Amino acid sequence: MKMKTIAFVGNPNVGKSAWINQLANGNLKVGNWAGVTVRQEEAIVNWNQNIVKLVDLPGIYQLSDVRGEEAITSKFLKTQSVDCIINVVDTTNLERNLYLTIQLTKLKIPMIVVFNFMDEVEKYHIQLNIKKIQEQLELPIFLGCIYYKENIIDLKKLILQQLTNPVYPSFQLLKKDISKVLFSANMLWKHVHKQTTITFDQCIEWILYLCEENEDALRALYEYNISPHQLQLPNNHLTKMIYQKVDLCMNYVSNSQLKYKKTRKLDRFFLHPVFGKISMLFILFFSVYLIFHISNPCGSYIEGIFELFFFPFMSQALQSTPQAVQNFFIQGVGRGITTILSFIPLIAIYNIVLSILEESGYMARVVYHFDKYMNYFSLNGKSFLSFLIGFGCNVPAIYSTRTIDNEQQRKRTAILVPFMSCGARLPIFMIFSSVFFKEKETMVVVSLYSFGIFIALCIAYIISIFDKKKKRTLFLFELNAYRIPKLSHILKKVKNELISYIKKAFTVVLFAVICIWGLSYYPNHNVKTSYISTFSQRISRFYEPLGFGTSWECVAALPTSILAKETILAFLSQILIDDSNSSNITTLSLHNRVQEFKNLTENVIQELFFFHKEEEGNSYLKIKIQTLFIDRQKNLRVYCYLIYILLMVPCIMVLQAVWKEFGWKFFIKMTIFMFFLPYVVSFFIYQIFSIWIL
Amino acid sequence: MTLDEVKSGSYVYIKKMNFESYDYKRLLHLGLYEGGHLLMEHRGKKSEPSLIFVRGTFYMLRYDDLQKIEVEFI
Repeated sequence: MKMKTIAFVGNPNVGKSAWINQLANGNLKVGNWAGVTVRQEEAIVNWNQNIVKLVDLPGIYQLSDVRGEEAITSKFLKTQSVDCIINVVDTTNLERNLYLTIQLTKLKIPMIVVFNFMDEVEKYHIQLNIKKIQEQLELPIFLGCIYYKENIIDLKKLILQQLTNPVYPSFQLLKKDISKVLFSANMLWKHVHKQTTITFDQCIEWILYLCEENEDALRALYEYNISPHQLQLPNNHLTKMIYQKVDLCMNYVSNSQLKYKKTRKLDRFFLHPVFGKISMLFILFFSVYLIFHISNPCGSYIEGIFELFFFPFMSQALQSTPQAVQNFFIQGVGRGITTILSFIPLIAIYNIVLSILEESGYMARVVYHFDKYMNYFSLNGKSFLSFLIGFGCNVPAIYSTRTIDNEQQRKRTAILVPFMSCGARLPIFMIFSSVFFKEKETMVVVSLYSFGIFIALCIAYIISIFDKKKKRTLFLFELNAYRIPKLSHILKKVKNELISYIKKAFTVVLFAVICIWGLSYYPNHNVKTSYISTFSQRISRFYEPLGFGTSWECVAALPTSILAKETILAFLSQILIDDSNSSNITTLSLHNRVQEFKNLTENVIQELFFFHKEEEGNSYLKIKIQTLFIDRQKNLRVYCYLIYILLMVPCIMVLQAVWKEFGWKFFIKMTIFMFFLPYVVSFFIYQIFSIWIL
Repeated sequence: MTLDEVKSGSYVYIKKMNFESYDYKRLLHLGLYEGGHLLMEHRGKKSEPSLIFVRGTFYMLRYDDLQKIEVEFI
């Protein structure tokens, strides 16, 4: 039996994926295809003996072959055999959504229009005359809300009906315009029919493409030495016609403006030149504070649980095994993975905060405030959006540069994105700053983030000075209406991030941890005389002018970060913590350990809810990190080390994204640049500031 | 009159758009076309971007781009 393909198409954020997830009934098989930037996800389901493939295409505003995401969706619809299109529209914003709906009818593929968010239609008292709208569109309309189960069943039935008895849409031209198109087609046919075997129907099609200002159609016209004026072509004919049709539909919609009332009120404050900027700084600072306040005690709690129960259990279980096996499982795998897992709360809280900012629509307002400043550096607000995404993870940030129209600005943004400290670097900053900058750790981490932005802007400015091909392009950015973030969306995002983090911990990081263990255990079963120590001590001389070369452990940790930044901490915990640290816990009785656990839980609750911080309950890693730098310049040395980590070559996933998006030449240039830059910057910072702290 | 001269809260219709082909096409698909109308939501100062409301969507435009859109009050 032939598999039927159903494509879900619509504007961004209209709920296409949510519908697919509901229709696939939890049997979703997600397959990532080429492009990676814009993922097309598919789910294969069996409905009444019909094998159906549901394809989730990236959200678009128009069918276009030029821009990234739009080109991918257009290409899919035009080249793949699609049996039915499900056009999901936001019913609260039909004026915008129906443009694409009418454009899609041109493809002549059976189609169902799903009017989504009907719950919000009621909430905003929007009145619709569906019968009249359906008459205008001449397409089956389905009214639905993802939260009602009966809607899912009804839509499934309607889709099956379309698959068995497909109804093809006919793109209806308005009467008064048909004559104009026919007139132009006739003129064209007269010009070209002697030179080619073109039919009159093809001439009509050609004219329709010309009405859309299709570049290929226009080029073909010039090949026959005909100018558009000779054909008396109406300017942007088709686009205007589509708008006319949308307007006709909008005659049957009332109260559609109520939705924007709240957004306008909020924007009066959030976009205010003074209060808007102050509130933005407050929101961003509060977000950072919240992340630290919650994640710090939670991370220590997880680490504490492992120390109290996991390591003693492992020691006992491996008692009869050789020393090397014990060391491998406890010091190697155990320590490395525990350190990584203790940052799960941090990753979770970080993504919750980031999703709230994104989902509420506030992120777009941040772009609004920053565009003016980005302009000074020959960048635009969208570059700042990529930077913001980069604070989460640099990989999607590199891909997000696709939305930047100007190629020069796009490349420039891609070079600068790795300077935005990603979520993986945050644990490193946090642990070092909480050890060496007690009570000021928030300030230190904020300063590192700000320093990353500062360096990025400096580089952008320098590049813009030497850029001779400067070209100003249109900057247009959409500001979504404010929405209360949906808990389900946030949880889904956090779940995905955590799964990918844990996967990474048990694959890439575990691999690194095993390698590191081997290098730090052999040849003499002693870290201090191991291969890694001997080699790193030689290399660390090269880093002495940067301050942190005095600690070979810190230097040795740097290359491991190419695999994943988290590996730095896994490395340090392996190298620094030895059995003697946990021996006192191992000897504790179970009763005492349970008592310790109760105290630990109490401390975390006190810290989280009553802001009462116990006298520094340092983890073993923190205690050991403290011993890395002990002289008067220790804070400066640590800060230079953190700056180096901030600016150094990003992880392998980011490098791969850069290669894919911009080619190998750009990749090599960028890697070389990012190899030398952190050295130079850390060198100057250490040399200048060490004069004061002699 | 160009769009940069329009005060916040004014409804205008577009007379002419002086953009290059690619930018022109982009604006067209987003609802900005000769004969169409828009609302100047918030006009920023010279170096600040402005906010316009077109067909159910808020857009941010820079001062230089506003100057390329010729408009008239409705």
